[in-house]
Parts: sequence; C-alpha cells; structure tokens
Amino acid sequence: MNLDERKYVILAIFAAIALLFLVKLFSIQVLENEWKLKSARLTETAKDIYPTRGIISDRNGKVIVDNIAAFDLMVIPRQVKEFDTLAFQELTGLDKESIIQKLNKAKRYSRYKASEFLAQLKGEEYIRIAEDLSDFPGFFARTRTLRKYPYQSAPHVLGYIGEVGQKKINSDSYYKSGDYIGTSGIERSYEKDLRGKRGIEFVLVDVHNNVKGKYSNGDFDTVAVNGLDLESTIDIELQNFGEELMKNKRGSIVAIEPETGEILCMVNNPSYDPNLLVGRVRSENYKVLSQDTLNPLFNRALQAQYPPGSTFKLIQALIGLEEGVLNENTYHSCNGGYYFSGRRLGCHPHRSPLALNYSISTSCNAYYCNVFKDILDNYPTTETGYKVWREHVAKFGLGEKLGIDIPGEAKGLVPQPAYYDRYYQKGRWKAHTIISLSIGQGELGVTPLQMANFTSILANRGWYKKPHLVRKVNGEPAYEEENLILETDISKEHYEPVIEGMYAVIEKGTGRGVRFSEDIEVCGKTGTAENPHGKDHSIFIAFAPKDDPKIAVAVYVENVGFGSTWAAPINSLVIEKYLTGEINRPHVEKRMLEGDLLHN
Amino acid sequence: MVKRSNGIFGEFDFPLFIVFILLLFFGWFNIYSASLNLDHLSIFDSSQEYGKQFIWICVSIGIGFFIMLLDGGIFKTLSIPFYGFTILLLIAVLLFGKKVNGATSWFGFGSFGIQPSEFAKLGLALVIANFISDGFPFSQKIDFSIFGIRIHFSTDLLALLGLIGLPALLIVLQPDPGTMLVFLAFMLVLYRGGFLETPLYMGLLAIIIGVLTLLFIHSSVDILSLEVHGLFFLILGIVLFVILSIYFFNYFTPPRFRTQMVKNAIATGILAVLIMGCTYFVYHSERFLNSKEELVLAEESPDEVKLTSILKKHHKQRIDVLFGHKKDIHDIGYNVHQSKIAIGSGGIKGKGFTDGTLTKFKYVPMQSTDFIFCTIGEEWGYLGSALVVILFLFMLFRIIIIAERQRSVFTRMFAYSVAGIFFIHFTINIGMTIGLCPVIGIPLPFFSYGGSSLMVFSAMIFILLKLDSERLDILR
Repeated sequence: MNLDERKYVILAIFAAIALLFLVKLFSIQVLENEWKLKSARLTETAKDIYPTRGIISDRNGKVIVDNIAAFDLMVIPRQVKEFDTLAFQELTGLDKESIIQKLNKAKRYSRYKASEFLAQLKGEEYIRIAEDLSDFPGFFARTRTLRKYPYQSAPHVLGYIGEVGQKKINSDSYYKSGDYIGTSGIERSYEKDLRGKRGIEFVLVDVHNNVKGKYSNGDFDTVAVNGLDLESTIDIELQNFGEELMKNKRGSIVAIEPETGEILCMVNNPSYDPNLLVGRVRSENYKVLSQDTLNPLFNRALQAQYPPGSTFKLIQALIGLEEGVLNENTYHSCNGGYYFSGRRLGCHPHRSPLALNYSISTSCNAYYCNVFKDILDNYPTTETGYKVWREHVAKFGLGEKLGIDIPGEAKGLVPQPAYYDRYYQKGRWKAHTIISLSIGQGELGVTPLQMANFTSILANRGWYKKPHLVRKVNGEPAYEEENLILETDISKEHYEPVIEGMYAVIEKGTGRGVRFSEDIEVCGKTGTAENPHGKDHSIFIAFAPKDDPKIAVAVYVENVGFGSTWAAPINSLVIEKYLTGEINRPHVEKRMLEGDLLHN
Repeated sequence: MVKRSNGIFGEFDFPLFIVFILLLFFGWFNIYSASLNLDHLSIFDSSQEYGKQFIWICVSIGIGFFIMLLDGGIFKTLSIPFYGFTILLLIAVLLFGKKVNGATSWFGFGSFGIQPSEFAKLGLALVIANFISDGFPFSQKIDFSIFGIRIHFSTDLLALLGLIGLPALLIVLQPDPGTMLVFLAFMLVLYRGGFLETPLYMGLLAIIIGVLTLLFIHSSVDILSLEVHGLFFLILGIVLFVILSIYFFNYFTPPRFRTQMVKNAIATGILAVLIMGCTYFVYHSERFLNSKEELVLAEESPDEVKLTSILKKHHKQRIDVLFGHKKDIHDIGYNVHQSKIAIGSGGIKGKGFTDGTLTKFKYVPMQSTDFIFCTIGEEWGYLGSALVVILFLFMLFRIIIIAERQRSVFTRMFAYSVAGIFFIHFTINIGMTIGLCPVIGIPLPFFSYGGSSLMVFSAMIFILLKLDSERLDILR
C-alpha cells in the first residue's frame, strides 16, 4: 500500500469508532427505556404524608379523643460524629449500652437512611431534648401525632391504636409496616373514617438519600386527606360520674337514650386510664394490664354474661300477657315459695295471694313460676311452648348479638330446645325441669348492654333502636335512624301494667329510696343474679321519666348481694345526674363513691 | 515560495480553531453544571472548579497567542530539549510528586497542580515528528525470514520505540497505566510514517481475537451431551475464515503471488490461534502457574492462599464486568452503571442545562473529570452527545486533512501525533462512560476539569495551527 493511502486506513478507524459511539449512544439514550426507569428509581422517591387521625367528641361536643404532637428521634448513622455520650445519656435517659445498641441497629438498617432511634417522644419530653439536639449531628426529630384522652375515661369504648400486624399488611394493601391502626373499640370499628387517606409526595434525593426538592414541582403529589371527626353518643360527664361510682367495685353500667338507641355511658370497672396505651410506653403498659388479675382490659359491658335475675320477671309478665295466660287481675298464691314435684323454689314473705302489679314490686318468685308454667303448658308439648316463649325472648335482643358498633360483643345465652334435649333427652323435660328460667336464673346469660337495651325497650313500650356509640361521622349522621328500629312481638298495651309494676317498685317495692325528685317518676326493677362462684351479683335496671323516658340504665355490681343495696342507688344516681345535672342526695352519693367492694 | 502569508492569520485554519473553541466552551459549561455549588452561582467564581477552569482556559488561550507569535521553526529546534525536560519532570515527579488516587503523578502548587505526564505527550509528539522527518544517524535495514515469512525493518523503528517506551515506562512506575495507554497513539504515527504496516494489522487482529476470546472464555455449548468449550468454536471459525479467504482471494491474486498469499493467510490463522492461546493463558494464568494442591486450597479458603497470577484480582474483575461475565453494580461496575443511567436517562433532548438529576445529586463519581461525558449525555440528550462525537470526529478529520496538505514531514507527523492522542483520549474516555471500554481514568480533551491536560491539548492545537499557517513559507 502506498504511504499516502495509509491515511484512509486511519480515517476509517476514526470514523468506525465515532460511528460505534453514535450507534451505542442512540441505543442507550433513545431506544432502551431501562436507563430512564433506573434514573427515576434512583432519584425519585415517594414519601408518605401521614394525615392526622380524626378527633372524637362526646354528644355535647367535648373532645374526648384528641391528637397531640409527638416526636420520633431519628438518626442517620453516616452523619453521626463523635459525641459526648454522658450528655446524651442525660438527655435521652438511656444508658450507654442501649445507645450503642440502638446506633448499631440503625447502622445495620442503613448508613444513609434515617431510622428511628427513640420512637414517640411526647411533646414535653422532646422540648427537653430539642435545645441541645444541635450538639449531636446526625440526630433529628420527626413529628407525628399521638392520641390523647383529656378525660382519662372510657378506655373500653374508645379503644386504642397500635402498630399494624403482618397479617393485616398482607390482607390490606393500604397498610405498611410501621403504620398505626385502631386495634379495639371505636378506634377499630371506625378505623377507615378516622385514619383519613395517606398522601404521597414525590421528591428528588441525592446519592446519600438526602431530599433535594420536589419532583416536577409537585405535579404528581397527592394531598393527604385528614381523618374524619366522629361524634360519639357518650356523655363524657355521665361516663366519668359512672366511673367514679364504680371505683373499687367490679361491674358495669350501661345507659341508653331509649328514643335513639344512643349509648350515653358504658362504664366498666376495673378499668384503666386510656393514656397508658399511648406512645412509647404502650407495649410495656399493655403487658402489665393484661397480666393484672383484676383484668382491667376486659369489657364487661359487652362481654360479661350474667343471669338477669329478677329483672327477667318483667319479660315473663309481658310474654304471659301476650300469650293470654295472664292479665292485670290474675292472682296466684305464694306461701313462702313455689312447690312442685316435692321441691320448693323459695320466696321471701309477703302478702298472698297477689296480682301482677304487686308481684313485680315485691318480686315474687312463685308468681312467675306459675306464669312460666302457664305459658309453656298453653301449648300441646313443652317443647313447642318453649319455642314460642324463646322466640318472644329473642325479640328483646337476648341470646344474640345486638350488633353494637364496636367489636367484641358477646351473644349471651337463651338456650335452644336442643340444649335441653342434650341434657334431659328429647321430650323428657317439662316446665318444672327448667323452672329457674322463670325468675331469670339457671342457664340464662345476658350482657349488661343487652340488659340496658331491654330496659330501653320497656321505656319505649315495645321497640328499640340498635344501640350504638357513634352518631355522627364528619358532622353527618352515621346511621339512617329508620334502619335501626327493631320491634318486639308484644302488643303495646301489655307494657302499661308492667311499667306500672316497675313504677311501684320504686314507690313502694324493692327499689324504695331510688326516687330522687318529686317531679321525675322513675320505673325500675331489682335483680339478684345467683352466682355459683361466690356472692350474688347486684342488678338494677331503671328508666325515667316514666311517661317520656330520656334514659334507660342497667347496673351490674358483682358479688355484693341484693340489687337494692348497691346497683339500685348507683343506677338512680346515674339517672339523677343525667336528668338534673346534679345530685341532691349527697349521703347516697358519698356512700356509693366510698364503697370499696373489691378490697374487703 | 508561491505565496507568502500576511501576519499570523495569513493561512490560519479557521475550521480547526472554531471547533476547538466550541469544544472548549461547551466543556466549560458542562463542568459548571457537573460541579455546581448553589452558594457560588457565578461561573467565574474561582473558588469552584468552573471558576478555576475559566482561569485555565484564559491561560491556555494566552499560551496559544504566544505560540502564534513564535517562529514555527522553534518547535523543531526545541523538540529534543523539551522531550528531555519532560523526561526529567517524569523522573522528578516519581521522587518528589504528590500521591493522588494511588499514583504519584502530580506536582502540587497550593490548590493547583500540574501533571508531568500530560506534558510528556507533547514532548513525545514533537520529538517523534523530528526524528521521522530527519531520520536517525546510523540507520540500518534488517531483513531476514523465519518459516518463509520475510521480516524486515530498520533500526529507526527500534529507536522510535525506545523514545516512546522511556516516558511510558516512567509513567507505568507512577503507576498510571491509563495514561501510558495514550502512547499507543504513536502507533498510528509510526504507521503513517512508513513503519509498522504488518504490526498495525497484527495489532488489529490481536484486538479482535482478544475481545472474541474474552467474550467466549466462560461459555460452553452442549452437543450430544458433550460440553464443548466456546473457544473451540472460535478456533473452528478462524480455520474456516482462513480456508474461505484463500479460496476467495485466489480469484484476485496474480498467480505468482498465490503461494505468498496462501502462506500469509495460514500464518495469520496460526497467529490468531496463538493470540487466543495467550489471552487464555493470561486470563487463567493462576491455573498454570500454581500446583493443583494450591488451587484446591485457594478454592476452600480464598482469603488466605495467595496464588501466583499475571492479572491482579481487580484487573480480572474489570474485564469480567466489561464482558458481562459478572454483574457487579456495587464495586467495579458501579461507576459505569451510574454513568450509563445518567447518559441513558437523557433521552433525545436531555433534561436541560443544570437540570440533570443524577449530575446534580452526585450519583456519578468523578463527574467533572473522567465522567464529564455523563453530564453531556444527561443534560443535552442524544443531540448533545452525538454533537460532541461529531465535533471530535470533525476535529480528527480536520487534523488529518491539515497533516496531508503539508510539504513538511515534521508538521505532518506532528499533526498525526496530535490526532492520535486526541483519538485515544476520545475513544477510551467516551467508551468507558457508555460501557464499551474498561474504566481507565484519562480525561476527555477540553471537557474534563483539569489545568495540565487543557493547557497541553490547547498547546498541541495552537502549535499545529502555527505550523500549518507557515506551510507555504518554509520547507522543514
């Protein structure tokens, strides 16, 4: 080859390389999409913006569940410089070992990304740290919100929030590890309303994951939608008063507004301050509470099942009236009890024979044994009679869940015929076999909520609205009122004689002393639930005023004996407080408040 | 003398000058974007890399004017002393230099530094041009044949290789093997100067066969349940290629050259297989240089036993990553991977000046120096990166055109040196940012931040412009 021609070889090599570059550049810049995606994945990060959780107020607009700012102390290990451990120990209250342990944990997670060093510091704790935090590079605070309960009451109703579990994360794509979710009570059942909707902010990050600004001026961001505020049916003043009354007692108070089915208070004792299950101390406190022998986490109002005792006689009377085996003037005799098949079901001394009104006010056992037997025997077989009877009972919301709007409700127990078939064989049981049902003992199980609801039915003369704890979501009615109405199958006129009997209970019967005002007529019924494990449970149900009922209350006090001694006064105090706003019987109030029935 | 120039712009080559200025200022803007500090927004702020680069640009243009004022003959005269001076500098830097990134290649003066190896390129370019144009004393031709293949060369070639080898050796001692590779550029000069016809072709053959060997070195194909190594097919391919080329060239070769042609073809084939064998040996050298026991031990506890091998572990890793045998985006491959993301995400039009997200947020290491091409690719897109490639190609072509219009062999050879040096920098630097070359840290002329390289590259252009402007005056 001629020397001059060698330039073509050289030019060809130059051109070949340039062409190779042009082709390769075209391929990665124009044809291949993966580099653009990778670039986006590297530099654009979606950051969650957490909405504030909805606030819960009581029926009078008082805030009972509030949010307060809390702070997570975060650390980015890469930015941490050597620091004065002693001063840091003082600041955080941690010992040296756990500081090192937490730092190592953060390093293991990532050297460039922030991780939690101390979670959920309360405002006052953070303020103490905040001033000196600048001395410790790499540490900074992240705000989040915590729940606060200004009234320190109604923990079982309100529930609490906790970190979401893996199971929930798997089944509901909304949740991510580390999120918080309502775990019980209203917090749980209204979770979707309360939590709001998380927003997403797209930001640009540098190679060390530091945020460098908004991506595309925030065009793709979605705004966080704050949680909806709830208005509860609870009257927090009444709730607190109820909790005061139940101090040092074991039991429950449930008050319902009959007209609406709204629960005015739901008191349980033993109980706890809901603020205990908030923030950093939650898991620790939860452990302590769950191991407490008094079982403060137990929601008695929904989950404890007691026999209804003598209060059940009201149902017997109503069913007897409806079935036509009883009228106002039906007399039965009672000579110290009800005698059957050579056995006796005892009764206290009172005048005999007696009619319906007196049978209620004096709470005669024999009278209702007769009524129960008459109802069952009115049908060809005991079983069909029992079925009819049971159907009537079930209409009062017993033996089934009422469907209250918080989780954990117990069904209670009104046995099916099959239940007795199993015990006594089919056709081998008669009214007398199960005679203790007539006075509300035996196998019956009723929750305090069901009892209060039953009281509400009496106040309404035959119907009720499904009891509920939340009435407004974001200012709008939470339920269509009409959908809540349920009726019993007892005619309305049959209620009047029974209610007259309940009125007599207060005026001259077993509930004397409950009447607190000249103007307000109260109707009630005592009960004593026999308890095979110890002293009987004291029960009292009542509603007032008689002709225009505003409140229906059921009170259970465990292991303290007769209904009239503890449950009745407590019940009347609740009604008095709700209707008049004050207590005019300081001696009764004092006796109830100071009664310590737990520790004796 | 047909025509005499009037002043320094008489025969000034404006196309080369303009493309030089374009590259210079486009480069400066990209350094601004790549190392932008939001507290120092002015492009003239001398506390930042872009401000410093502006000073270097001024100095370089100043040097350029100074060069234009000189008489062109002085470059030939000074070539040997200047070469000697750069060799002394290279020795001095080994003794007194500053260690940066593991190589003793810098003299530091305050916040500025100079790199003698950059000046060595210029010295070598001048001295090679000088010797090729004037010839060597005691020149002799050597001519013999082995196995019927005639080998002939002159002692001039040995002397030239010596001139190139001396600075190359000193730079390897720093050690800065990347810069040493730039001296390959002079192979093009020697080729054009009348040397190395066969070696150049052999070099090309070696590159092709070497790349193919490394591509197939870990592959194997199942044929009838027999595992056949991929390299077996490479050998098969070479044999087939030799047979076909003999058969094919038979038609075009005059009968009296046919025996020589067949011999050449077979020799090429044998050479190709030998190159393949050598590549294989070097790549797997630890298999041949160690006993079986040592190999087994090393397999069990790789950290304790040190095997004898030609390639260091990280060399082998870079080769593996380049040829796709290993996907390592954290260690060796990290730079290239990030660089490809930056360039690839630029799309056609790019993300806009100073709006490259990977550039801005420092995702690519050494962005203002070795990986400056990422900024171009990301912020200016394919339009920008293709423009840079085309500008460089234009510059290379222009330099060759200038070279070929010289009557002076010195100027022509100097021009070829300049073209070769720019070409190697261009090829290796851009090639590594888009994953076509292994990562070798050498700058992209006029784009990478750095004073020494900019001054030397500018000086080369201006010396060439000066010599070219005098092409009609004197014959050197």
